[in-house]
Amino acid sequence: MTPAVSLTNIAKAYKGSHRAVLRSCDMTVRQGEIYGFLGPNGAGKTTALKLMLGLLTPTAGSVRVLGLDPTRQREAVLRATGSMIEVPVFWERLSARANLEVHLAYMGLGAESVDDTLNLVGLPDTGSQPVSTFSLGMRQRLGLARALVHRPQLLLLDEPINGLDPTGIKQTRQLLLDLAGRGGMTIVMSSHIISEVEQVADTIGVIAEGTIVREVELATVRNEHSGGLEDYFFSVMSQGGVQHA
Amino acid sequence: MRELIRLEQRKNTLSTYLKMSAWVTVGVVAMTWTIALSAGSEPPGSEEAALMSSYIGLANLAAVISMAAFCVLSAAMHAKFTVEEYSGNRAVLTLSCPAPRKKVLAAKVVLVSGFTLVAAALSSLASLAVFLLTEAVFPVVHGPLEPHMIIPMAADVVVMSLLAVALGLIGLAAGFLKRSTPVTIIAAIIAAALLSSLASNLAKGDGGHALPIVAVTAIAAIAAAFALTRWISGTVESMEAA
Repeated sequence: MTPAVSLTNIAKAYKGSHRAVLRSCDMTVRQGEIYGFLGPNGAGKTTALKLMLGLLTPTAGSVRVLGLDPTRQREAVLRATGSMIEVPVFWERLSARANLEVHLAYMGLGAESVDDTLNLVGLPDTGSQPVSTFSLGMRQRLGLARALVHRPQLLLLDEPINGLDPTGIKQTRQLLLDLAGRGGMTIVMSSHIISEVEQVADTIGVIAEGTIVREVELATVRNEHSGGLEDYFFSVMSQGGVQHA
Repeated sequence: MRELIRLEQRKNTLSTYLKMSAWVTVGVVAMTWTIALSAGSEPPGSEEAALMSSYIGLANLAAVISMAAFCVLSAAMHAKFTVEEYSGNRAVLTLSCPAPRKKVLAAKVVLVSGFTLVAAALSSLASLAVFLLTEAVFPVVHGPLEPHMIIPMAADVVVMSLLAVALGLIGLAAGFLKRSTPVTIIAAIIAAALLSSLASNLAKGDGGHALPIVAVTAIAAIAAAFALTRWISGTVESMEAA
């Protein structure tokens, strides 16, 4: 089966910078799985996610997302994926509903799925309230709603539980498990909260200093490390001599 | 394209800019009156007196003032609709839209330029109409208003409205280069000041009208604006949301 995401020997350096953010980076995400993407601050997680969306162009190497090249087939990739990168940004004067309607309109889709999606993420009654008045947690939920509303095949989530309260974290966890389990969606999720990743992920990718240093199934981690994923993560970091956040 | 323009309208309210256009119209009428009333303070027989005491000269000055105001308004809109949308974190949102990047940009530019053209033309015509109507009751300009004057007045309105669009786009290009709202507006102010000075000086030298030279300048500005817009479009196509 074609991988949902495949990064092969990727390098990425930003213009005007001598330092490569990613180098010799290989990553494979299988279809239908939840891929937990771990790494210290500045390791290159967000850069890798942006490359998958065609928001950045690799300096070297090849990116494939659902069999597509994000640089050359950017719109097709954006239609097939849902994403929440860094702090989600919205059209502030519009309501949550209007934000989702505009997002769908860019894809030529109607607004049929908007109410269901807002219910799904726990934002059922925001009415005409402008997004500019939303709390951090509400914005995070809306970011998730926007990623989901067009029913994508692949979800790319950068720190999706940032700013959520314990109830929100639990709901999001269950939502991701449902989407992957019942919905067959592939999910790549980066997070600094290792315990959360451990509760949802099938596969773990650890990135350090711009390279994926480990890619392993969570079941294997559990079998080989009595301290679980946290123990595994710190052992990987210490082996690489990497200072972690 | 029509749908993309409609989405831009939905994301950004135009009512603020409509209100500002109305205020510009009021301001232009007031300034036209002030200039007409102060014509008597100029030395008799001077170029300034001739310009300020003829209908064509006053209409030309009103069109120049209107052009400068709408050029700045256009730049402010470009800054809001385009420069801010491709800067910082918002660039991730804009570039993540699953629509052709060039078309998304074109929708923004067409909406702002179209609004500027229509608002500038209607505002100039409205202020001219109000001024001429008041002349029927309280005349401040000595001399008759004749039908043959209408065509150069209307041509002035069209040329100056096009110039407002072109200079707004030049402001956009400068602001886009630096991804800066202040740069967008300041560049438009500088361009408007230069063109206003040129147009009013030419009008003086021409005894009240110099439309052909101003029209050539406008065509050059429109050509420059078109080239710069193509450059922005190419930049957006390969832009990275770093």
